[in-house]
Amino acid sequence: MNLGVKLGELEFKNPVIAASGTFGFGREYEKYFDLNILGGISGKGITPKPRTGNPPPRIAETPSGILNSVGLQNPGLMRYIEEELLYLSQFDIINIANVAADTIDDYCMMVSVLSQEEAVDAIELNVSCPNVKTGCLAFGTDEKELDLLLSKVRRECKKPLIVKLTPNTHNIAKMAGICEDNGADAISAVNTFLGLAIDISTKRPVLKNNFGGLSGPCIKPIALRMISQIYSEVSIPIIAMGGISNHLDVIEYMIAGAALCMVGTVNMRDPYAIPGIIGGLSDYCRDNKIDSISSFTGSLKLYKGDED
Amino acid sequence: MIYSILENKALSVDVYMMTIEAPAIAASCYPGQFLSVLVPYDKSLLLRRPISICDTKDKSVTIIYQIKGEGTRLISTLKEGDWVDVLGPLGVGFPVPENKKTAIVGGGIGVFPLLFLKNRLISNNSVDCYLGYKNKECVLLCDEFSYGTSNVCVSTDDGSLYNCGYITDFFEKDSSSFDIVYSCGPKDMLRQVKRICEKNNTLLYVSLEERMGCGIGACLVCACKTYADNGPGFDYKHVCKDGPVFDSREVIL
Repeated sequence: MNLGVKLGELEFKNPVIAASGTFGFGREYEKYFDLNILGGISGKGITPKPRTGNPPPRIAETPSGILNSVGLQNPGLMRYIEEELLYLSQFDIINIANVAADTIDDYCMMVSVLSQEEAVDAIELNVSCPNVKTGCLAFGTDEKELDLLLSKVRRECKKPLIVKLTPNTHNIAKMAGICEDNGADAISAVNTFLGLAIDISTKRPVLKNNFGGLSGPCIKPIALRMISQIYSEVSIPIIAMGGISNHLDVIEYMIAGAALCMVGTVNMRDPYAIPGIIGGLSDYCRDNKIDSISSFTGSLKLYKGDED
Repeated sequence: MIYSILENKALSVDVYMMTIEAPAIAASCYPGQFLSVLVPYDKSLLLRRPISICDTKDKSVTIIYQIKGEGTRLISTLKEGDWVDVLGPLGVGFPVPENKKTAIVGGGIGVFPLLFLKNRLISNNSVDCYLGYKNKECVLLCDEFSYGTSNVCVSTDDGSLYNCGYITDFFEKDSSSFDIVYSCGPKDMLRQVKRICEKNNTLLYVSLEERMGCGIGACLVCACKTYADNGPGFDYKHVCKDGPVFDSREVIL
């Protein structure tokens, strides 16, 4: 039985990656489990300069989900390299740097700088944060902008390039196609869905930012459908996320087309969730005599027309 | 981690006290720290509820919480002998000094975490207590504060029991005589306490509240505004990991 997954030249021990934004840079979770068991970690999204983020409240609980508007609070590129990357480099895991910016030039600068860093195994381009007012999401929702951005970023990027897509677009599969055409090595999807929670006693949004990004089990069926659609459109690997809370969810996403999965919101509920998911996958594969977990990827048989 | 519930009882209409058997937490926790309690029975409520530690005994830890919504209501239905999933102790608590003249100023549900602090302070310090409640129905546990303390002043906003008025007014009258002040309660109250302590140049520690996500410092949602470390402007620190207790000079209330 083999839980390992290859993505180009990157070898993941298992298909479970800690999702950006829910896991910091791993430090807080080190207390709860050995980070070396992870397939990979996608660190908190970083920007060229430090960002203070949005005013609180930044979170609202919604049925089977959470709405957040952190607004990319992060230490900035230089402190990331000096402190967080140094910390992350001690672990034998695939280390993915998640980057966001306002302009094409800034994306290119960050990708170029991070390409020189040995401790960075891959770069995840965040073009999908719904909680910042400029840039970022604008690239992920406009076909021409995305095309232009990726054509320039690809030239600067010497590491495997993952593009993280937003579900807040009318045709996510088409956006994935643009990524593939521009030489992206993988797609990660989906970022959060733009949502609203209201406090009826004040008639005001719960979040100070008004809107926020919805994540958690409530988005899973929509995200799963999108992964299936992206899988039909592109041949590069897909890293799927959206409400994964156990190992069965991972397998479901893999059947829909994912090569790897990212686990996010459930970490907030249970810091031991990821070890549980990896253990669950291992047990499942052993009990069902699955030789390689990658055999699940894209094994979904969609119904066709009048099939009986 | 899963713990056994020794008691979970109502103290008033909407305030409950839960005691769990947790020797390791009891041995390691500090006043001002909190536990993060998983909501039982309903998996659609994803987030844990952060609840401050109110007291410890040899092998047990007590928390007091108010029913604010469905999550805390479900927690209140747990019975003696049930299991509860708890993370903790979490956060940074109150520093406990020696040989100081201290005061604690609590308001509403914010009174309860200060009981644990009071119990630690009294071994080596003098402690005066100022406890404010909305009305007589809300007055709980103030007898517990009299043991080992020099003075307990209790007020209700409407005067339905004890002194009438905001507790900060009573605290202000005596405020110049303290070395260190500790406070927990509504933000408006904390602002007043901060103003008073700044006037007297007294060291003040405040315990803050904000909507939390992970409770361990990773998700960055429970932001509280602080003065920037270097230069002008502000920054955001996080209540769950950098706090909930802050030196009042650090935070913008």
